[in-house]
Amino acid sequence: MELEELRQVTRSFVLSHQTLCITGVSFDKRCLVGYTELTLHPLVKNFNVIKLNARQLTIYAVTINDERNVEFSYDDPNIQILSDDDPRRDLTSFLKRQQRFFEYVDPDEGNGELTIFIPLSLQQQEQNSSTTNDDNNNNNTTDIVYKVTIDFSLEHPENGIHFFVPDDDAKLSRLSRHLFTTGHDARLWFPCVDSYCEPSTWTIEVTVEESLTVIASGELVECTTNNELKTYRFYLSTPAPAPFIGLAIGSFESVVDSNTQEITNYCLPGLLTLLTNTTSFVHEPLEYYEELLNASCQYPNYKQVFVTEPHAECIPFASMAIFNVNLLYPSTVIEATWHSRTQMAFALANQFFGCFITMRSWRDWWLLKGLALYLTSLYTRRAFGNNEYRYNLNQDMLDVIRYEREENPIRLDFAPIKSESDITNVNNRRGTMMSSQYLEVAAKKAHLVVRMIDDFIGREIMMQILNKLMCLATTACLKDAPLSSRSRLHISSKSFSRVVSTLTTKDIQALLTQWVYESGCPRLIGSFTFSRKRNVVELELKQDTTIKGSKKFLGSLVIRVQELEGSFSHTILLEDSVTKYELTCHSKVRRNKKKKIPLISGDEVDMDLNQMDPECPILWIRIDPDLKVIRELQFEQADYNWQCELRYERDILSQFEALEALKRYPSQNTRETLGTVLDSSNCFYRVRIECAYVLTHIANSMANTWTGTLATLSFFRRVFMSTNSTLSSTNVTTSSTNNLSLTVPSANIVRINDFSNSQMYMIQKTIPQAIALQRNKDRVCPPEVINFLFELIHYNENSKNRFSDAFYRSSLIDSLSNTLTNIGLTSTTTNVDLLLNHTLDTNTKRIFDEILLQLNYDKIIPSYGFCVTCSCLRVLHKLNIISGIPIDINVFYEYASYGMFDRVRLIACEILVEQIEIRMNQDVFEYIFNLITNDPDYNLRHKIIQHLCHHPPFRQNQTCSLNNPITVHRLWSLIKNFAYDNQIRNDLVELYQIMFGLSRPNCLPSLNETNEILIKDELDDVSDTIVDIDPERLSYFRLARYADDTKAAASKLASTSK
Amino acid sequence: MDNTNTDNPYDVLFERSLAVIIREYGFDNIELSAYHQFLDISNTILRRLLLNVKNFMEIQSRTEPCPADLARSLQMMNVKLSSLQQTYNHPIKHRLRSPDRQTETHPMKLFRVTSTTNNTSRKHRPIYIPDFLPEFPDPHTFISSETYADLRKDYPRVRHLLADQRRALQRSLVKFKLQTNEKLSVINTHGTNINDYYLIKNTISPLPYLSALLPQDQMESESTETIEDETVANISHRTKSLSATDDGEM
Repeated sequence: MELEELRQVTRSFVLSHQTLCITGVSFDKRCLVGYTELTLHPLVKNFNVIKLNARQLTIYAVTINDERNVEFSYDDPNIQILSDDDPRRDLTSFLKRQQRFFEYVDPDEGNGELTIFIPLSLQQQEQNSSTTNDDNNNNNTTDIVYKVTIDFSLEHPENGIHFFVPDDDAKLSRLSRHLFTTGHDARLWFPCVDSYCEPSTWTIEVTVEESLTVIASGELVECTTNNELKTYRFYLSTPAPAPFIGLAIGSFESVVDSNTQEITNYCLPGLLTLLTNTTSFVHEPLEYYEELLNASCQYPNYKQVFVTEPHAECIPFASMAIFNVNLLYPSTVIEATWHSRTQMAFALANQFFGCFITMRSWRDWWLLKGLALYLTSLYTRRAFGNNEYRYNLNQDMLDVIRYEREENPIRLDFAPIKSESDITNVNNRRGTMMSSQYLEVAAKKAHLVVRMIDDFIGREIMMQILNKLMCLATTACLKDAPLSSRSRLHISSKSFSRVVSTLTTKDIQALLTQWVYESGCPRLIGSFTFSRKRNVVELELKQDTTIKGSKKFLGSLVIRVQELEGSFSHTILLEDSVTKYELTCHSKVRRNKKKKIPLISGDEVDMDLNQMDPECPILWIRIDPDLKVIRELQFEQADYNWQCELRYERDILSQFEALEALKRYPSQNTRETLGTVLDSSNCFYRVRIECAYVLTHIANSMANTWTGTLATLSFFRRVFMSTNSTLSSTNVTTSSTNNLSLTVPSANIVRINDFSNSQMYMIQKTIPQAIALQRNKDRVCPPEVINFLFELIHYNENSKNRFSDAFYRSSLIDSLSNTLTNIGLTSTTTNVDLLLNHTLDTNTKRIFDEILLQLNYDKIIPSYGFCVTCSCLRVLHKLNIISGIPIDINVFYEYASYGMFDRVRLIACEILVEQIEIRMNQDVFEYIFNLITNDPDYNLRHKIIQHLCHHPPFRQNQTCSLNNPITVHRLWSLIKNFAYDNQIRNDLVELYQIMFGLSRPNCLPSLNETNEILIKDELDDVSDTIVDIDPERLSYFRLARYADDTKAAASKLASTSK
Repeated sequence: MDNTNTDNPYDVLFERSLAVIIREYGFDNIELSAYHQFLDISNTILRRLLLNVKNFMEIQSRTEPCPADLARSLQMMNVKLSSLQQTYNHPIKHRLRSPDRQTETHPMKLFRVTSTTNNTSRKHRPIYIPDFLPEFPDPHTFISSETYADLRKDYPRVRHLLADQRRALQRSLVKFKLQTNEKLSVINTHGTNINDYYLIKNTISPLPYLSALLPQDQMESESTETIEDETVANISHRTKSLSATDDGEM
């Protein structure tokens, strides 16, 4: 079985060991020099060509088994997908070519950029030795070993390795210089087999200046010093594929984990206290995973490195992980904890599934991503609680559904498209060619699907299967394990379902077909009636298959009915688009209303049943309560049912559903229910926060009949403000004018901050934002609310708090921005003075002044992550757009320039992008393009493009002043020039598609016919050089390739077909 | 002990050092008889200990005692060495004091003229006071009443003052910085120069993450710093102890 699977890959050799030796690193010149030695075992008889991956490298010489200066050729077609003088500007042809070129260098097709021709003398040796064997079996040919040594250098890399070199010469800046691997494109920094299914053992040797530390995959076996140079030697005994080889060099400070000696954390100079605080928990997920999988981590150690400007927040590698330095936080900051810990737990989960057990090809990307996320979420569930887990799960599902409906249906199986006409969207392509947005949502879907498999086969069996996979993989890591056993280190959807079916009697094929091989998710519309005569609930479920990204779902679904006598679950089978079910009811209508009602959680509660329909014993009904299916749900029941559900159901998902539904029922009862839930301290804090928002929503839709203060406001006063004398009530009502509240100390003052209860802190932080959304009859925010917010800011007192109030202050500023409305703004004056001093609403002007103060103050005394600055910039943008204050665009340029903290830059850039969307400003557009082209921070480039995709200046060739040939040209040349950064190129392609569609942009003149003919000829030419993947041709090709070069084989094939 | 013994300088020294030790343990005062008993006991114990040491020394056929002998004899006398270490490491800081005469602190008297003070009441005096005696002085000189500030009303005032001060500080700091640093106009003025809205110009830092991740806004409260230091110390301490046990096991 194993050999068979090895043969699926058309590579003609097996890589058993690779040595990567970096002999010189220069930060000033931003270059690396080194050599690599690959130990290859040929699998075929006539082994005369070795194809390897290598990009943006200079190859100096190749040596095979002491045979020096072996002939090689280097051809990277992806550098220039279309030639400069090509007049076409349509994506269709571009994508076709890109896909072909990817296949042309795809290591799993046995291809590569670097072709090494084995000299005849060596080939003869091989033949001699093989003739001595009678068998021509593959097993015997493995006896011959080729040692291929390649000398290379890497200069000014665009991707693959990132050099962080500050401009100035201060001591700390010099100490902070570092470099690290940016992702899983190993071919960008050393010659290798850049495939996920070619694991090998590794020796990594790096020579650097004495002051630098080297962190690389594997175990540090030796460290020698010679003439002020230090040589680190790492050995990775657990086979890993080249993409998971990580490297980081710099003067890092380090901390060994206090609980587990195997874990070491590294950070840049000056951040050691943060590092100690942030990483103090890392042993927990490790122990948890090991206990869960009943298998130990196969790497001898684990290193976490925190660097600046990485391309993603968290990049896992074999036995190490690289994180963004922004994940570090001091013990005084509360909210950073959740995110940082999740990221670190995810990187650790990858040490089991992801880096250790890898995907066989990009088609199986979903499985590994899903498994890693699945393990992560199991840990976070344990660490942060079940409610948080379910909340995140629900959010993920909503994201997936929204993306499938609005953007593009997700098919998790990234199989190559059979015919080219199927390219209807840039994301319907091979795995390496997806946009980051698509991959992000696909990862969430992958997690949900893995969770579905877990539900389907049961947690215990799932763990047995994962344990089995780990055990199998472990045997491949043993010293004397045969090479062929290394195929156990990678899994595919097929092999996974095979393991499942052998260990259980269940077949997950149908599940995979529904969710993996096909795209879309179902939309269920349900309603019910109660038939008293027969005492049954008549439930009707419809599936809407007409909308985008929908897919009919056939299978079982759980319905949970809460009746007077308790909660009852029914499992129904969805068989058709419209299905009716009759669920027998277990309760009779009661006369005695005093009796307690049992809930699913086992609690018994008293309920106020006066509102209830006396004829019906149903309290509420839930469909698929445990998120077992990825579905969009629309369920109809009376507002009373929703209110009951919100108030008494203990499952937070149910409460969120009810809250969402109650937005449609603005009434006094709803108001009371929401007030009660907001008040109940045993409710999950996210529910209470959401409750505050819904309450505001209800208040706004009832603005005309609303009496009394908002329940949220009085709740806040009661809980977070000092309890007070009789003065307070009068003061609140009278202090509606600005001057009064400023001069007279209001009796109600917010208490000095105490954030020791994190749930209360979150509530205190978020509720002002919800309150600020309140609007009165005139659709403006009531002055009472604005005064309230200003008082909060004024009286904020943090000196006795052991936590930082940075996020609280930034949240208050966000609340101020929530109060802004454009109602009542009629002035179109261009006179700035007049506008600011007379026309502008006093409250708006007050907000403006406050923002400037906070923005300036944050510059003098920075808050954590400049979060106050970020909020202020957002408000400035809003003041510009909504209130019409003419903010100078230079302000945002100022914050977007390199040298500012990256989160601030990102916010400023996002604002600039939104300015383009609204104002169609050509200069700003140009500025953004320049950032995308030249900015040293790659992560920022990614994020800007992604934000542009969300807020494009125009869509699908709409008429717009920016929709002109210059824009087309600019974007097109960007796409062409990002040869080495695939992800940026993919994102740009997505942007191009959003703006111009797949065909030629309308603003360009159409091509004349002669050109078209010329182009067609050229395309034919391409299609002959690179053969399509149909099996017949492939098998022919496979045989032919070993006889001759690729191009010769293709031409032969072409001639025979003629 | 007799007075004759005090002539012996060793005894004087011994007596005094014991007194110091007792004082160290928190006694400021001790009765003489109890103290003498202490002296006797200590003397006996020390004598016993030295005898033991001497015996051990002789058994080992040495002429000078070594620490091991002392340790051994202490063990013989049922003294745990670890407890000695503990005593040495944790000197008692708390002191018992002899109950001293507490001086009663009287609340400060505030004098004020009450509403009852008027000319008519001044004339009025009890009948048992003969007429020839002089008049009572003005009531506000001898009627005392205690006044307390109304705390419930005071709290908002304190908070208000605090907040005002903080805001004023912020404002003046920003104003100062705006005057000393380069500034940037927020408003797109279209040529007009009436403008009060400025931002401090950013200083570009080569390592922007340092100021962002190590915020200064919390530094004013010392408690957090000490907490952090403590945790750091704890962690380093833990690593030390861990490595120590590891070595031991190996």
